[in-house]
Order: sequence, then C-alpha cells, then structure tokens
Amino acid sequence: MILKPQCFARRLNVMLAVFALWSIAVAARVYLIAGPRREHFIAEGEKIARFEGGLPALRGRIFDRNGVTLAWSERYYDLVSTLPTEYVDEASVRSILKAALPHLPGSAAPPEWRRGLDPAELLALEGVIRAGIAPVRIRMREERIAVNSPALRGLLGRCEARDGVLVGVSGLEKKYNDRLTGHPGRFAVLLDRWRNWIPASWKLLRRAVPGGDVTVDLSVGETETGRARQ
Amino acid sequence: MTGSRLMPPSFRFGGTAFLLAVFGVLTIISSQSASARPLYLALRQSCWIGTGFVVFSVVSRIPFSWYRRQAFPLAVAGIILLLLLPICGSRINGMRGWFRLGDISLQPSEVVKAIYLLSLSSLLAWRRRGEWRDFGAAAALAGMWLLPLAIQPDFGTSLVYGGVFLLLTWLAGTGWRPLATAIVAGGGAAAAAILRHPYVARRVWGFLNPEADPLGSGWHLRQFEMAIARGGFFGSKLGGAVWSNAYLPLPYNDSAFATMAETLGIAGLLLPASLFVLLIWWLCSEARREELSCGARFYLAGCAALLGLQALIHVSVNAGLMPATGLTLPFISYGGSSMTGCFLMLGIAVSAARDGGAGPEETPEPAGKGNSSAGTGAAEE
Repeated sequence: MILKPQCFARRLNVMLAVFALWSIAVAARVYLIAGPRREHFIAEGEKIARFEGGLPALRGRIFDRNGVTLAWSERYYDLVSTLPTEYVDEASVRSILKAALPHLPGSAAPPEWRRGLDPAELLALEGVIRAGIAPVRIRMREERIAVNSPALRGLLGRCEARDGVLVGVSGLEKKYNDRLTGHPGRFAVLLDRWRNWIPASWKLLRRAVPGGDVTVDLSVGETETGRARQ
Repeated sequence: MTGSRLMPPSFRFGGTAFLLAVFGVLTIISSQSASARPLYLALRQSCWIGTGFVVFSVVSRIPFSWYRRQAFPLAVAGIILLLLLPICGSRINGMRGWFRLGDISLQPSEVVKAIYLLSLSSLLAWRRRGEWRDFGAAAALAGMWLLPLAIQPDFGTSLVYGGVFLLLTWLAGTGWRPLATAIVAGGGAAAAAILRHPYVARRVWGFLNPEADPLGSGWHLRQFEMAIARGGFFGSKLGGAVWSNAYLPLPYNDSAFATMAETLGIAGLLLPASLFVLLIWWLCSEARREELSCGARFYLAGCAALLGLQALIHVSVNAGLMPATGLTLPFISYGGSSMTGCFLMLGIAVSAARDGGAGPEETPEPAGKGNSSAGTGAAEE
C-alpha cells in the first residue's frame, strides 16, 4: 500500500481520539466505583469477607489479706484437630506437623495434637495453618490456677468454661463471679478466599476489660496452720 | 512535539517504560504484602526489567533496514514457535501457551508481538495490486498468527492481535468495506469460540448479569469492583491492599490495574496513566514524521495501537466494562515474557524512529498527490 501522509495522520488522530474517549469511559467508571458508590461496594465486600470474633477477658485474681495470690488465670494455646478423629489421616497429618514441630512426640494424636504450645511453636505452625495443608487449628484455653492448699482450694471453689468464658460455679469463685468476670472485647477481620485471616485487616472494635481482683479475709498461713492443728 | 525532539526516542521510550515498570514492581509488592515471601515476585520482576532493558538496548542499536529485511524470516520463526505450543507447550490456567524451561516459563505470544507488528507493517508497506488484494494478504498473514493463539486458546491475546490488525490496516489506508468484512468475520469467530468453549459464554454471561451468579460467573467482576472501591481516592497505601492480596485473581498480573487502584487510589493512578498517554503520544508523534519510510511509520503506529489497545482492554476488564479475560498490563504486570516482549517492541520502535528512512522499495507519496481510491489511500501500481 502507498501511504497517503494526510490520510495516515488524520486516521492516527482518529485512533488517538477513540483511545481518549475509551479512557474517559474507564475513568468515569473507576470514579463511580471509588467515589459515589464506594460505600456500597465496601459493604458488599464485607458481607463476603468480614468475620467478627470475641476477645476473652482474663478473669480477675483472688488475693488473701496479706496480698498473696490465691487464684489466677493462665492462657494456653493448644493444637487441635478441626475434623472428627475418624476422618483424620493421622500418619499424614503427623508428618506435616513433624516438619513444623520436630519435637512433636510420636504418640501425638487427634483431637488434641499438642497442648500448651510455646511461642516458637506457634510461629512455626503459622505456615501450616495459613496454607491449610492439615486439618488443625490453634485453640486458646484459659485455665484457673489455685494456690497449692487443699483447704483453701475448697474455700475458693471451682470454675467451669462456658462458651469459652470461665464462670465460677462454687465457693468464692461463685460468690465474686460478677467482679472477677471481665468484659470480653470484640474484633473484626477480613477472611481470604480460603477463610484465613488477613492480618492487615484486623481491627479492634472493643477492648477486652480484664476482671477485677478480689481480696478476701483469709490468710494462707493461718489456714494452713489451722489445717495442721486439725 | 517540539519538546519531544529535545530527547532522543531511546531516552523517551526507555525512560517512560522504565518508570511504568517501577510502578509495576510497587504493584507486585502491594499484591504480595500478605504472603509468606512478599518480595519474591518483585525481585524476579526486577530481573525481568533488567533483561528487558538489555534487550531494548541491543535491538534499538540495530538499523531498522535489517528488521525490514528479516521481517518475514522472523515471522516464520514466530509462527512456528506458536504452532509448537499445542504439541510441546505447558498448560497453565487452562491455556497451553507456555514453554517450560526448568523454573522459567516462556509465553511466546508475548515475546513475538514485536515480530507480529514488524511482519504486518512490512507487508502493508509493500506496493500491491488493489485494496482487496492488499487487505487479503494482510488478513492471511494475521490469520496465520491468530490461528495458533485461538488453538491454545488465548482469547485475550487474540483480541489484541486481531484489534491491532484492524487498526493497522485501517491506518495504512484500507477502506471501510474490507474492514467491515473483517469485523463480521471476527464476530463470527468470537461466536464460534463462545459456542465451543462454555467458560467464555459463562464469562460473557457473568459480565452481563453479575448479580445473577455473584459467587460463580460474576465473581471476578465483583472482586475488581471491591478492590477499586477500597482504594477510594487516595488508596490504601503500600502493604494495605487487603482485597488484592485476598480475593483478586492473579493480582500481580491479570488484575494489576485493580491492585494499583486499591494501593494508589484514583489520585495515584494519574501518574502511571499519564506515562501511558505520553508513551503512546510519542510513538504517534514519531509515526507522523513524513521523512520516515512507510514500514517504519506503520511499525511505530502499530506499537502505539498495540500498547494502547492492550492497556485499555486490561483496564476495561478490571473496571468491569468488559468480560473477564486474561491480559497483562504492558510494563506493569508481572511476567518475564510480557516485560521482554514489550521492551523488544519498544527497542525496534527506537530503531524505526531513528533510522527508518525510506528504503528503495517504498517511497512515501508526496502530500497532495492523492491516490485515486478516494479516502482509502489504497495501493496502486
């Protein structure tokens, strides 16, 4: 073909004009999405991905009149199975976990693969949990510890976990339950396609308020002496 | 125009492409910020940019007359490369479009874009015997390139190759009738593709009715919208592109624009958009130079058409104006083949702009001495 310079230049301008109009249409669409309709799309997205969860509040401590701690709470993290034991291929899951936790005992088995993970183990398991290659999850557990005195333990009473919250069911734990129980916090996080948390999206909605401490008119020394006399 | 003459084409084209590539690396980092190795792809992309620059520097030094002479042997090699894909290519994302060389995958359809443009512009620059015959020859050549792409099937790239063919033949002076015939034939081929590949039909349906199946065929479109919405006007900053990390399909590649929109926001998009406009404008400015040969001018215009068309299709898909199709954003999306192919194309464009003077076989017709085919600029002997 023989090029006609004027025709070529004119058509080149027309092509650029078409590109410009097309770009304007795209820009208008992007503006519409990111501007006037932004909240609508964000709300739509949160419907798919938003997850809200509770942050348990640590139960308050019980002190004797001399300031000795009689009962307190400790948090532990356990590695547990997400599937019923009969559906778990124990050997293959164990080999996956062994790769992350070389010290995992050979006797480890579902539903609780390991109790009381230490911080290094928690970090080592992050990849396994994120990749979803084994049916396991990390569960937080709060344990109530009492002073090593059978007499005092009887007076202090017992706690039970109900919906992940420790509730006093007997003794002083029951009597002061309202004061010892804190107010759980609340968080929101977005989940990815595989329902994993997206860490950057984590937002604290309400801070957890730990339970109040209680000082009771008891003394570890006197109680133990009294028990010894008896 | 005058300002653009102050800098040589190698500086203008190379500099603009490099700045776009830097935006690409930032986009890739943003899309991977939540992954276990957030810098892995960005570092690889930096290597591809380096490779692309080496290719750009080498090919821009070769005289354009050499490319003109080698256009058809190169085209034969390129088409053979594409034809080998169904036989020994690897299937990725449902498409047999890659050769695997150990850890590296090569996508020939990206690398040979420059050769496609070169062969088409060289053919269109030749003197022939009439509009339909010229157009027929160009269509046959384009068909030879498009057929292996359709077999893969790579409909996104086919769309770009087909669109560039129409634009370039039209720019070369073809009249409306042959072009209308080609458009009708292309529409027929698209209809056949929809019938033969149900997923294409699902994508078109998902585009037309995204609300009908939001978790199925409308899924991608909704994710693009949500990512752009989260970016707002000023973006969510580097590392805060939550939606791109979690929901966008191939956020560093086919969804690069939506990732950029979430990271930079509308305000931040203005800079890469301006760089694209500048690059295309400069290519067109060079293509307007009458002292260049037809082949060089067609090649430069073809580069502008290809980059403009591919970028606009990519952003249109990401903005929900077109059905989903896998297409990279030139210089920005992750991928060695795409990056090398784009720099190769620009390197040859530099050569065309620098020494694409008229060869003995083609002479630009003097202005005012019009061709008898009114308004078409069709060929005559």
